Amino acid sequence: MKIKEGYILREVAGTNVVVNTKEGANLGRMITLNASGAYIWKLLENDCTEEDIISSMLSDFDADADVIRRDVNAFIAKMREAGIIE
Amino acid sequence: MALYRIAALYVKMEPRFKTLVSQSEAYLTNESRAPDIDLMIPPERIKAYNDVYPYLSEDDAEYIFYGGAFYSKLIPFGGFMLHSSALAYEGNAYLFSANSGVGKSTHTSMWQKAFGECVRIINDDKPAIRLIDGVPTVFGTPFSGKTDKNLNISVPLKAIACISRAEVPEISPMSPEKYVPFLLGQMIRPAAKADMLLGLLDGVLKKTPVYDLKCNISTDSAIVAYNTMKG
Repeated sequence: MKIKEGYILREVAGTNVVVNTKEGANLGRMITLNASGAYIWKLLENDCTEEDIISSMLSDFDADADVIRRDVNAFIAKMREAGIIE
Repeated sequence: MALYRIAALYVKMEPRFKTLVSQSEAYLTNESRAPDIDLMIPPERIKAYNDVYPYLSEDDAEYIFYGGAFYSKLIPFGGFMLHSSALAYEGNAYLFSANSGVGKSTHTSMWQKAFGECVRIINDDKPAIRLIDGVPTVFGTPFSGKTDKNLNISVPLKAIACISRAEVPEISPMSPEKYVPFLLGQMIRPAAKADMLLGLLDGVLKKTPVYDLKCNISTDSAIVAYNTMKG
């Protein structure tokens, strides 16, 4: 899975903002991400699996594996619901 | 063909109806040169827009359509519109942003009441902001929403406040997590230029403090705001 074409993540005043740059898209809906959301987003810019993300986070973050697994799962579910990943 | 000087750019346009004609008058220039922005919009495009929004008069349809087109074309020139009432005082510009109906214009009128005629309204609803030599600068434009309060001047931006109503006036610094989505929600954001626009906003916000201003209809609100926003 990966981020759909047209969606970009940019930092504005230190805040991670996601917008859709596709012509005619409604920019009314904007998403802001926290640091771990932005970390996952960057991995999703290239095709990867949920397990890839979890193992990458396990090596980069000092957090409980169950917590990471649960948070990644929830993040991906939200992104799918918003139609941002394919 | 008429040439206008708006936000330090040369703009070619030919307004036909009263509102835009009269509000653009102060921006006319006698200079003769190639325009930076071509706003020559065929009347049939305005008509098509008016067909989508039939409750607008032809006059209003032209004014609104031109405003949207101007602010979209401004982005590649390093500028954007922030839905706000902008005032100039002591050589500094202050912007007060909020959804329609909250009281942006009412608040800036309180500054005029509190500090007198030296407070000037740069643009009552849709000022342009451009980084000029690295300095965020506020420009009056002919496009100022429901009122004709706009001046053909430019003033360095001192601070921005996101306003809401309250019983007692109060001001505090706002966190970027709160003001970035708020301010983006008050801008014209053509999708195709979103990347550019986010970069511009970031550039302005790196140099501009943003406050959460709770205000009522009183000169106290203006004084509370000024005492903090002046820095």
